[in-house]
Amino acid sequence: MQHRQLIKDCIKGKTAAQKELYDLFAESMLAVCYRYTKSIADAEDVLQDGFVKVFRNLSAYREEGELGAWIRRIMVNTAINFLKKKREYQYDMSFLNEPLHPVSEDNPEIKLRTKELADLIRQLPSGYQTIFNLHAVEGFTHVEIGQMMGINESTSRSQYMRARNLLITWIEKYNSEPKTSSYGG
Amino acid sequence: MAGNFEKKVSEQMDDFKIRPSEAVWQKVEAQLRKDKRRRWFFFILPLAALLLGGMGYGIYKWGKTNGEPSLPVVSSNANNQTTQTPAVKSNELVNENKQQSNNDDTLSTLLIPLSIEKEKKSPAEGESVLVDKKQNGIVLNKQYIGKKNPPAEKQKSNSASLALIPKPDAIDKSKPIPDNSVGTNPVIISAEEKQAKPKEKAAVPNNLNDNKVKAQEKNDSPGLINENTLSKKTKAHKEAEVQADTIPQPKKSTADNAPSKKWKIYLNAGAGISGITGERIMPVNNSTSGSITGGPAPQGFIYPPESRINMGPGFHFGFLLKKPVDQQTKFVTGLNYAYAGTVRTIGNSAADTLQISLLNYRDISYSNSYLANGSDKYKTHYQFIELPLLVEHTVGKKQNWGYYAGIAPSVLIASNALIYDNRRGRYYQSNEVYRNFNLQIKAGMFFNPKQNKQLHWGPQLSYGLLNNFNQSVPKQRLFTLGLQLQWRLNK
Repeated sequence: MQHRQLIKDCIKGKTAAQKELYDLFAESMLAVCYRYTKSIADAEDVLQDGFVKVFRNLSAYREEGELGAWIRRIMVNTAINFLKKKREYQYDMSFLNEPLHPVSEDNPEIKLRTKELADLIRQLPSGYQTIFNLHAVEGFTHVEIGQMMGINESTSRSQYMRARNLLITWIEKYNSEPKTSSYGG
Repeated sequence: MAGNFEKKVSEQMDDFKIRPSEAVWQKVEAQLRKDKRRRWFFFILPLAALLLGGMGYGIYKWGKTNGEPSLPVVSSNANNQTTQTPAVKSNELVNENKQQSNNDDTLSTLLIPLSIEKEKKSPAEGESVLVDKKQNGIVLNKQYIGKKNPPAEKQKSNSASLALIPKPDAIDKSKPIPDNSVGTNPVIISAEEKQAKPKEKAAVPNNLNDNKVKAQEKNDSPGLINENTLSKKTKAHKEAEVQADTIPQPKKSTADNAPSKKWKIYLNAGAGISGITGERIMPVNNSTSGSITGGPAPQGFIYPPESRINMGPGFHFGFLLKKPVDQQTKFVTGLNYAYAGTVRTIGNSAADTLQISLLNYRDISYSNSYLANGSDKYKTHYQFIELPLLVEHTVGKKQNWGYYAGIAPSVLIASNALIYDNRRGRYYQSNEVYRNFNLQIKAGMFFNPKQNKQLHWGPQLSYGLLNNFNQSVPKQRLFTLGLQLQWRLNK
């Protein structure tokens, strides 16, 4: 196990070890939190709460999977809790029964850069955004999403399809827009 | 994942990183430091206090001194002639007849309080009960008590060996008798003790005995010894001892020793740790403890068992009323506010509202439930008003420690405890499921540091006899273990 000694030192409460663990995973975890929230400030709040939970519960880590995956799971749960508690997200977290957006291409090519794609995902309504992140990016099943969100599996499925189609629509629109050319010479 | 689209999105997002600001780590570090301090306060401090308390009590008991107040010794012979010997300590025996007590070893010096002595059966031959009077600081009329009849001639000779004080008739009755004359502890020395070789004899200044022998030589018959015949040293010694005497502390009679029947009021407070004992609700398929609801489990899905409940802080404060029943026993009642906290791990909150049917066929709806899987800490609290009904018993001569036990009916005034529904994988809160009345068993010990009767302290255990919930499952009972302080308000 790669980080075994580091984990032991963190459990003992050694600050240097805790800082090292934080530095190892903070950047990728902030990106995870960024995808669930609407602002970088909110993302950092979620990151801070998430890492506090990581250090408090590190003794419960059983080395059954990668440490990064375990930390990521905690970050996701923390993000979902944050969204439910924060008032400005609560309206968006209610699930909409809009009709599905028709899409021409079910698996379009994604020409966006990583950050641009992330920003597109963040523009989805919070409910769509969360379910899309959980299923498409994190890989949770709709049963698990239903448990985490307190919704039915069918609700999760339908909301995901709406989110997916909306995102594909935006991606297709982005793909079809003429790019600004830089002229040289 | 649904298809290629999801795969592409996922792969792109895996490479996505953002560097956080410095403030994030600083806040994380500050929170972790706070957690460390809290852990020390709630778990180490009560244990340290218990340990210190135990050590302090052990040192106090070990350093306890033995000693009793000094008592004067007065003797008289079988002819009721009173004699007096200088005051000696009650646990020292006067070696009055060292030179003459070679043969008779049957008698020993008795030091018996007057009150008890008065209750003795009527004296047999050779025995007499002392009637104690005290005038001018001198104890009169103390008589010997002997197990055997002293030989007349020996008795005769021995009586002269002691310094005698004037018979009561000769005393100036105009002088007031000191208040502590009644109930004064007499030192009763057997009439034959003069002859007996004493088993335990305290040292008496040799000059005293010498002077007694001299006095005896001068006066063959019992009666007054002219004090002028005594050496100045002996006289001074005698006077000094009488003065220093511990004019004996009047021993209280049994009636006097009875405790005041007045109620004593105490402020009390305590702190420690709380926890839960009992069962946890297990997954539905292999459930041994059932569920709060009798509804069906979702098909093909098994929710995890109920999460463990960890200990948390507990404290109480209020007032106690204590009424003495006898010298060592008190009845205790009062009113307390008690707080018991625990911690458990739960998942995210869910905003939907669900209806469930409880096992007793009542329907309740709950919202703000929590999912089964997760790593969030949920702090549970139970708040009670208690009415302790205890019996307290003090131990030891100095009554500086004791123990108590009893019950405390309690009313639950607030709680946020969660119930686990293993058929839906949810933790939820509902006032419908709490048991509002409970019965606590309480037991503990108390110590009086330095016999300070105003302040008691000691460990206390409190345990709920009844289930926290009014449902058949789960069966969970609350306990609190900690230190208690009691401060008496009235005398």
